[in-house]
Amino acid sequence: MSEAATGSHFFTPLRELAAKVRSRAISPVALAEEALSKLDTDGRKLNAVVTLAGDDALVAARDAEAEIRRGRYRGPLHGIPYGAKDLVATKKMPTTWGAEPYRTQQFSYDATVVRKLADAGAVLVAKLSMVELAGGMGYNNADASFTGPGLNPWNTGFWSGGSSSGPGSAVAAGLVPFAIGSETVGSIITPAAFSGVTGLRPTYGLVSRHGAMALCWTLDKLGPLARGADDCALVVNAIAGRDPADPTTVDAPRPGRAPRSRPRIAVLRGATDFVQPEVAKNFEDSLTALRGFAEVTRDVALADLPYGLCAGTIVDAEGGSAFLDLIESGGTRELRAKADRYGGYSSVMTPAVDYLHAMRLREKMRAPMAALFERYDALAAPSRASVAYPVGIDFDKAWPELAKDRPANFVSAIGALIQVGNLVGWPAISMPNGFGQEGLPTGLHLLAGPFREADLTAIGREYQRRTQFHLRRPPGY
Amino acid sequence: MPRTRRAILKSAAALSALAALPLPAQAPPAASPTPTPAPGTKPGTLAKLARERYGKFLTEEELTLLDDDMEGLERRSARLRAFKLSNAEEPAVDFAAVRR
Repeated sequence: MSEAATGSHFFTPLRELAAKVRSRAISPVALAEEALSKLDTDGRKLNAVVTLAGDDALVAARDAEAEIRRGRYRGPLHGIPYGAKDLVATKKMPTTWGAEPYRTQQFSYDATVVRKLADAGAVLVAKLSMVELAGGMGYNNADASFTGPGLNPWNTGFWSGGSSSGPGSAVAAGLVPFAIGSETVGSIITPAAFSGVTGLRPTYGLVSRHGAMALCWTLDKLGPLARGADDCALVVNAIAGRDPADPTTVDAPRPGRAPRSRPRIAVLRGATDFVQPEVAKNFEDSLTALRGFAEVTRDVALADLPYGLCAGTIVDAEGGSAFLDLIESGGTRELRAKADRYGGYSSVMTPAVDYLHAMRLREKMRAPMAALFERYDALAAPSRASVAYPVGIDFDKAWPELAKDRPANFVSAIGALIQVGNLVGWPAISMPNGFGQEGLPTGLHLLAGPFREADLTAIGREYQRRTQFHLRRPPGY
Repeated sequence: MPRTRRAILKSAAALSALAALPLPAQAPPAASPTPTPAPGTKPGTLAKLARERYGKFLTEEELTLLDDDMEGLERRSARLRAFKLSNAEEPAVDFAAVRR
């Protein structure tokens, strides 16, 4: 459907939207008003919104419009509205971390990512909902935020994914053209897959975390959710780079080699074991599309290392420390999800030796991963084993057929890819690759080598040019 | 046996619910030589300590769930430590005497 038919500008690829803004065919003020209006109506119905920027957004949009009129065009995000997961600090709006105990929290500064987007001329229109404390206390149900469960625009009986719930659903419903999310272990990839949008998790250290809620200092990353891979690339270009306020950041090193004309993609062994049939079929179709421009090698195994053990231990130890005051004061009683009210008490009991052992094993993961990426440009698997979970049912009771006949010692390649990618800090993308049960989207997950975001977005652009799933719209939006 | 997903994930060491994986994503290593605490027994040492420290904040139901979690933590700990490392293998930390 054309934008003229629906009145929505936010299903349009960012470059096209930017060209219209630059040529003054579209006003940044009109775009901000459109976003604010949609967020206030559809966004609230989807539980995607925490705070609207209101007049502050309109002022920023007017400034952008005036600058562009004067001939000072800042680039493709100039005058483009966006939303941010409510864990990045903003001086003009509360920053709630999705959690009741922080509902009135106010910072006196903007997070670096917010400042960089302002420098690029983008207009912050809303703080978007998220799972409380980015899921660090162990939630087991979609209803884990004071804003309620993030609802999926494709089918509101289902979750939009977490922990970047609002960014996933707001982009999917065309309420904003892009949003900033965060990932510690899966929190961009999951909502991107469940909501049917594209999510790019950058290399650890490429994007400053200054002003973002800390859950795990060694795992947290900020990145975009948007319509397509090209949109994500534009956003990452604007937010990447060294920041003195975040000592883990670096300027992206110059690529050691140019992207291959025919990229080499490895399919993880067991990638479709114990997944929903539609997930398996859509993944096979994705491989067929990828073969049109890439070399695809099947049955590639990761080194036999305990990715899940390490990720869980590190999240518990760092998260327990990050929220020690809240946990030890009994403040977790105010959290929404049942599991979050007691989960912190086991996290803070994680032995220091276990944490260090996990960090030593993490170091050991680097060499085999580097060796694998001497041969391949990307590792592929379905983003998730299922479509989104139903709202109102605990995650462990959702899609019970997946557990049928599954051996007790089953290792999920899908889970391992999310875990190892985050443990080594390498970039990944999730792109819509079809639909499954209940009309819900499924996703294709690709992991690339460190600072090889350009490889991912190049593959993503070509894949999406051929498949067009990223342009599909939820019914009614 | 563990009663909650969180405890199951902890003991299977899948992942915390950050990514909300419904499936155990990391089973114990096949060759793990270390025995793990039997599930379903009375609270272990760490669980007792957790109860002592934090019990005042929790309901009886939550305390039972915490016991489960702690059981999962102890199992995860045993499995993690079963992966042997040499003395020279350092952790993935980047401490420097002077901040760069």
